[in-house]
Amino acid sequence: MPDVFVEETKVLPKEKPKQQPPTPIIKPSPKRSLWHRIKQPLMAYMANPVDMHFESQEEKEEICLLLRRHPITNMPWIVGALVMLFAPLAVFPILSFLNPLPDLTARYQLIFTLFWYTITFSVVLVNYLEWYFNVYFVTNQRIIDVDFNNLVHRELSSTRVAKIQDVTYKVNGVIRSIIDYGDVFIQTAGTEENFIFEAVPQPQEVVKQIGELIEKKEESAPAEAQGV
Amino acid sequence: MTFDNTLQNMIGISPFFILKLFILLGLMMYLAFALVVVRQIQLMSNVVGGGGQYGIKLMTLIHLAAILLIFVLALLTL
Repeated sequence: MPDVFVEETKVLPKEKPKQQPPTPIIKPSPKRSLWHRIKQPLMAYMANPVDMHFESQEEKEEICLLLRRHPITNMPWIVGALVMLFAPLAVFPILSFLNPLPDLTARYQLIFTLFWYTITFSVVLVNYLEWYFNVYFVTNQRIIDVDFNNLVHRELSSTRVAKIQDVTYKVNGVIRSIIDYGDVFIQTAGTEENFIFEAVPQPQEVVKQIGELIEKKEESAPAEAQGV
Repeated sequence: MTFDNTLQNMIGISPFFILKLFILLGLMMYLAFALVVVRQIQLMSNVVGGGGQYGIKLMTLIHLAAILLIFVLALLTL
């Protein structure tokens, strides 16, 4: 007979072990000095950057090189911005002397001045963003070219290191030779598009790094083919 | 007779009102441009991410705030 005075022991269902969340691709950035944080957005050549990532980065893909155009290529718009910055100091007194619109109050002059300096800030900001986001990545798997031509147009191209056939660089001109920046040409196999890293610093070092990556890929290709 | 009075007699509208209208229209378009910049930086930060993103986003927000301030100033004072 069943014992009515003893509660039946209930067998609770086993809790399923909680699945660990997948490890994020983005590694936590180590503590960097304030100076490094300030100069990082201005750097055009970064070897093994630990706190950078890009959109289609694969799980075991690590960035070996991050490249941008040499900062000296920004001189034209920097000079233009400096001219715009100091233009009101020269132009406005002349306009006040000529007085083309005698009834224009000081409020309009204030608005025009503020508007002018905001336009100057916009010119600097847009040109800087164009330089900052036009970036080349060399990873242990691929070569990536991110193009940010204007505010509404962006393009990302990539190719596998194994498909690279030839890498050369060119340094033309006195300024490029003195400051050491040039173009790196990457030829890929077959119908793949070729890549050009324009005006990057230390192009000989870039070619060397890519050559080493190609060698590593060729050495590891037989092992990968055997499934090791 | 002053310049604005002359024009007002000719077209019936104060020229400074027309000037204010054009200034505000221009500032509205500029404001839209600043919003596009903020949005595009958000999108590009997903494409190319890194430690310098916070400073860039701050600059774009300062840019937007400056234009908004000028727009409000023009609306109220002109």
